Amino acid sequence: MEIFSNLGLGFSISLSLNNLWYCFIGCMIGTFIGVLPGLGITVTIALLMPLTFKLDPTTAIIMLAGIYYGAQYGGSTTSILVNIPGEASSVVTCLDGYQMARQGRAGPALGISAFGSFIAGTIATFGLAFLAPPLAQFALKFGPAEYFGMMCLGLIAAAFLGQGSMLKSIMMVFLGLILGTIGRDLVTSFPRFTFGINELEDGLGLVPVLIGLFGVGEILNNLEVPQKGREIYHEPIRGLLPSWREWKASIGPILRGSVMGFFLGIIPGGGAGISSYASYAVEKKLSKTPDQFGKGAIQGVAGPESANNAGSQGAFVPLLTLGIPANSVMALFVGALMIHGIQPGPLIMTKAPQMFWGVITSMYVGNVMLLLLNLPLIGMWVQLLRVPYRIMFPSILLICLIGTYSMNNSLFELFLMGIFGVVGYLFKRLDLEMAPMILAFVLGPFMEDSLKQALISSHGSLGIFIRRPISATFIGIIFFFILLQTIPRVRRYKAAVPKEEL
Amino acid sequence: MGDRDRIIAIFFLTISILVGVKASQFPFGNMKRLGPGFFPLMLAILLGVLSLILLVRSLRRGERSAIEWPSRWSGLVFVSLAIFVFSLLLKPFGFLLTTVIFTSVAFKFADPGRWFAPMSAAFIATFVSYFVFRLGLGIPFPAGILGY
Repeated sequence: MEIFSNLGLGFSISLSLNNLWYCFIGCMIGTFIGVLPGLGITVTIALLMPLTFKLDPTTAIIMLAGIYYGAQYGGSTTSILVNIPGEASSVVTCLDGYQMARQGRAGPALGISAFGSFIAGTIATFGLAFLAPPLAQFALKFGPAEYFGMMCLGLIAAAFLGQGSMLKSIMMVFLGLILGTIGRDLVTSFPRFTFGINELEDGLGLVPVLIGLFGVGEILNNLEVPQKGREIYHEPIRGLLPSWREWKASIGPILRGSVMGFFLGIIPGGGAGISSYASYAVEKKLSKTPDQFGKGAIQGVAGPESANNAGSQGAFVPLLTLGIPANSVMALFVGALMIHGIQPGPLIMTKAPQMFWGVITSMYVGNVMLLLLNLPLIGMWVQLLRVPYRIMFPSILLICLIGTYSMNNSLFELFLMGIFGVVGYLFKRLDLEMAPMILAFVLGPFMEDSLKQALISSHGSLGIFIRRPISATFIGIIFFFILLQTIPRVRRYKAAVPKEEL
Repeated sequence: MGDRDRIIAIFFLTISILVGVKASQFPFGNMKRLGPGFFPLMLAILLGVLSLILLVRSLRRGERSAIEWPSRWSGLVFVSLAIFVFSLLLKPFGFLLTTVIFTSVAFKFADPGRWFAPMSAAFIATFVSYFVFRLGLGIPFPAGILGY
């Protein structure tokens, strides 16, 4: 079978000493920042991007990917032991994980998170290996009209999956698209909204924008919330290996969470965060004892922790097959690939199979490493949590400044980071969701370009988007989403979901 | 005026008007060959329409969800000022000096009650970052007056 020779090729790449080493570094950094609350995945990857420029592109992506899924492992540790989510995607793990720790079951909670994540990682790796090639084949048929339709659909999906009102999320999408038009027009190189600033001619830099919104914005928000004294779990953690009974209770949630997380990860705006919410909601619904949830039910840890790991790997599907980032972390991967001269999209698989399969198989390798890293070293990670915020926030701020500067050695980008830090703070205050905006900001230039090309090929007729079957399907689904939103029951349900569960 | 949605609607409406006015000065092109003005102008118009919908909705509903503004602004003001001052000083003062100033002020701000702990943290942070980023990774920071 072709898939086995492909996987063989992949493992021959990912098991090379150099790649193993960088995969290990990625997983270590990922676990580290996953455990640390206050330093998110997006910010870390943005900060580390410049370091990967000198690496071979495959190695660079292997390492960055390791950070992404590694952080899902680390995030659960903080949720369980301190009741503070280490990452946004382990918010729900706090609910039952912390309760388990308080009942003296921190060991099994940590253990099932790690094993669940490992199983999910395995399933997601195979999902990626089986799903990506046919999808990439399919995507080769796409012309500009299809790409435009698909990106519109992706943005609507991202807005729909958001937790706030859909109207405001769509407004954020438009704001992101507008931010994406800053800089010289691709065709005529007419300068738009540059106000005579040279640095703006290539557009707003993604790295300063993301570090500002998520890094600095987060610090600004944290400084206002009085830091509650952290109750760190003191007793030695025993019994990391879950018992037979705990396995029996968890295996269903783990498998369901893996599959659900993987598919939710594929959808733009999805990824690790929403997967964990969805898994928690489903497990609570399916449980015979839903009242146990929130009081230390192991299912409430096993499901979401598997789902977020699978979701983080599922997010690679659209990147590797369509060249479309599903979330802000994947947007950075687009940037990382393009710096190496690789256009993300369906051609990666045929033009750079060693990279495609190397990255996919490295995820399996990385999951094995993480399992080995996390369980025995858990005591070391717990020590990290004892670092007080008064040490952490100036250090994070300094790292943000240095990281942003080192991207392009540009002082302007430091200003930009500061401005977007304040913007990120205000958006959070106003409860506006930033994920749809970031996605739109990244996709904007591609969308405008494909719109122009589609109209050139149709001699100016907008009908092209409806006449071509694939793009017509996308447009149809968009209208379906919008119609769905006008049904009051759906709107009420969506408004109730996050609040009910938290 | 305190209503969250109303403030958001007015904020977005302002942006859409500013962007729309500016974009209408760009060459518009035609449907066969879209100019640089088409896409931003369309975006501005659509954003404006959506903001109006939100505005009308929030007016009809009356005031409901006020924004909780923070009780203390010091953190916000301090951090944003620190970033801008850091960027201004980096070139004339050089990396080492700027970082020492920045970290001393920042660690002291974070731990206002004491002197020894924040100052030692500042020096450690400065030297670690100098060794890691300047010497280890060779990032070309401005040298400034001290030459470091």
